[in-house]
Amino acid sequence: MVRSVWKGPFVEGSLLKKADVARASGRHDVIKIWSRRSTILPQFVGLVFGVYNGQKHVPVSVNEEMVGHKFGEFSPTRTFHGHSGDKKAKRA
Amino acid sequence: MTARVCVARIGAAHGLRGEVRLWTFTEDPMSVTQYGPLSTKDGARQLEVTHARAAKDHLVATLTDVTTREEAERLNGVELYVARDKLPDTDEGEFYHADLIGLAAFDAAGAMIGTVAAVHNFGAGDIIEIARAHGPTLMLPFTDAVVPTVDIAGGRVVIEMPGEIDGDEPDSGSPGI
Repeated sequence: MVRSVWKGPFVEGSLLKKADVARASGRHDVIKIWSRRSTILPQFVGLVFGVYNGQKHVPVSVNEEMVGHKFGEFSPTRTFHGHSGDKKAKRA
Repeated sequence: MTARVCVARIGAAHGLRGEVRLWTFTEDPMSVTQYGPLSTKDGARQLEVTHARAAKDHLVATLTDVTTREEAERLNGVELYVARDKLPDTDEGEFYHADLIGLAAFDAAGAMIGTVAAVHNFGAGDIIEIARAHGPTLMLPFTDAVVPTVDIAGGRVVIEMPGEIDGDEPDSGSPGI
């Protein structure tokens, strides 16, 4: 079911305020949020959110490609711990 | 004995000619064919993937000296390892998960926080998970600001704990997700 366009994207109001505080501080603070249903807006790009998954806050570094998605998509509630294999991590 | 990395697990037999299902743990599933002979967990047996083709969510592979279904069935569940030094070198600022896991994590003042338990990527940047001696694990973004030092040879990472902008936890009565 697609959300009506005239309504605009849904974002929790408190989240917008926290994003403003984080941007103003200029530090790399993690913004702890519980609202997994909020849409990622363009003004969140570059910020790091800690999205609650029911147990802990998972860091979500927002980039342009994530705009329009929901925060909950990047904070899985069930984690599979497999073998690391030859997977690599790059420091951003 | 050099460090080894698990790159695949053999699944059920496939067909009558000794092919097996192969569940890979590599970034590119087909790269298991490029590492040469793979060893079992105890190192007693060497198996090389001579041919592999992609199936729905796994590979169907042919292994050296495995030509019948019975032989393939006996290998069900066997994990295949490759020596760590056979993995190609990484780029600047890039690290194998296998190298990071197990490193001791210290804060900027030199106090131990815990050990690196896992490295994740859920689509929003790499995340380093630190297991502390007490309490739940700590998930932090794997960035230059938060993890300024990664010393694989020294067996340690330095963590600059990021600040947190806390906020109003949702009311228990709210229908929030």
